[in-house]
Amino acid sequence: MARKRSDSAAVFAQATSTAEAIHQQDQVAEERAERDRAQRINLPLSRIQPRAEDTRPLRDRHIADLVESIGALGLIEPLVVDLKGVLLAGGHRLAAIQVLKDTSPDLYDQHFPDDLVPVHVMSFDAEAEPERSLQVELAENEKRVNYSRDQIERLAVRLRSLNYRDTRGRPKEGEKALGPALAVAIGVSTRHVRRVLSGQDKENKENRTSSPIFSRVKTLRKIEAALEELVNLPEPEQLTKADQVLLKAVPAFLAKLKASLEDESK
Amino acid sequence: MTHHRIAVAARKGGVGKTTVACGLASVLAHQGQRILVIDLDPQSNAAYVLGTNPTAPGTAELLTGGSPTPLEASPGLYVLPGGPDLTGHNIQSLDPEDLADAVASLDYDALIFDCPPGVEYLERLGLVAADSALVCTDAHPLAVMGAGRVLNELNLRQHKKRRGPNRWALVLSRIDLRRSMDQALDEQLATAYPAVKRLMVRQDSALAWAGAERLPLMQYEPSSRGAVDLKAIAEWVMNG
Repeated sequence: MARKRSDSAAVFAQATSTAEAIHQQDQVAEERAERDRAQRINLPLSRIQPRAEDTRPLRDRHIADLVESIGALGLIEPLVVDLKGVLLAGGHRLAAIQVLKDTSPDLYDQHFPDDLVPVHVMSFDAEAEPERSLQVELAENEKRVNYSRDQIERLAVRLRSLNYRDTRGRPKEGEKALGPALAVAIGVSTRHVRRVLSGQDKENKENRTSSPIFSRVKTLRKIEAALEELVNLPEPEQLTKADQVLLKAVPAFLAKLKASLEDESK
Repeated sequence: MTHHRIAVAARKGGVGKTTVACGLASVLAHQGQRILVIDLDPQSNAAYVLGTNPTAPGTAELLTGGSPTPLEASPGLYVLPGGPDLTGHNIQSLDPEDLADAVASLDYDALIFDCPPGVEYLERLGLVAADSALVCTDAHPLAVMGAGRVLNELNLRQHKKRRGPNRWALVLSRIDLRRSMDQALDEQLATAYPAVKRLMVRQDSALAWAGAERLPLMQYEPSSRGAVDLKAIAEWVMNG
């Protein structure tokens, strides 16, 4: 005997109300997906958008050096982008990656498979918060991660395997100079790289340039001086919206900077 | 500049999305319009049922910045195939509005987005790029549940004033009104979603055969019951 069926209307009513319930979960899942997308550390090159305006012009020489270094080692420091993929820091590196893609597609594919470029995503929108984006840019421009001896030595080993040589002077045919290449890659002087590799930095560690606190104070002073110079410039007659926002933000930022310097000198 | 952008979605699989999308495309092309079907399904069924090469470069290339050449299925009817490349990491990390931007410069009388079952980030790309949507369901509770989720998402997007369709309709597919489930379906949808227009595609083997024979519907059987129903849907889409 056939089983008695419930009526079709009730069957569909259950389905539509379940759709409501799952919709709640859909929304939660979508929010999570959006967050994940924001934190993802690889972005396709085409999704990284240049800054609206560059605060300083790109130097071709520096780009050319970076092309060589990134071609050999890959990108060591991720680019910094905002939630929408707008570049906050790393203009030279981004330009260099683009050049690498155009000139040495093989190397590019090797270091950036599937067109993916490592990025660090800052969770804000540069358009909405220009002050913050400026802070990131300044910080990134002025301060470098201090690479440890170990890290520098490991990088040097990789470069040597790529036929880079750490002899002074002009490299021989087919060889490339290790010191300058590594210096460009991690943003320090060639001299510093050579000192580390030759072990000279072990003794006499507390010199002025290797002391992080001293470097930090020096950097902060530089920013302070530059900002004061900016504030004291005669005001241009026509201010763009971005200029106005920037000018408004500078005094507060300067005050924080001075406070930090004062703490440091105590 | 394209005048109509229609997304065909259902969330559930096998309820007639591709049949409706390609049938509608064939009807519109037969009326002399230039139509492009954009297949968002990793299974790449749309290009197949229209008799073109489902493995040719298509929607994935379009989404990653390329300009693939649409395949011509019949006069005025073009298709960009889907395919497994749509599941790649670079597509998953796209912004939901990227397809909308990618198709902005295309010049057709209508674009039809054939959304995939299940894969929500792909379905969303299609919905966001469309200005109207057809939500398919057949007379089964699981299909109704899937359609309900799509309708809720459409409502939410409109409520939040986000980019996406400004009007949509339910398409009840494979309907045979001699069956009690099929009769109850229309009533229940009318009760649950009173503001949503309901369109109907009746059970018709010509629709299934056209796909199996890989011919656009109007080339296969222009006077079939399915063709009549899809003409009514075309009327709603274009002049609704």
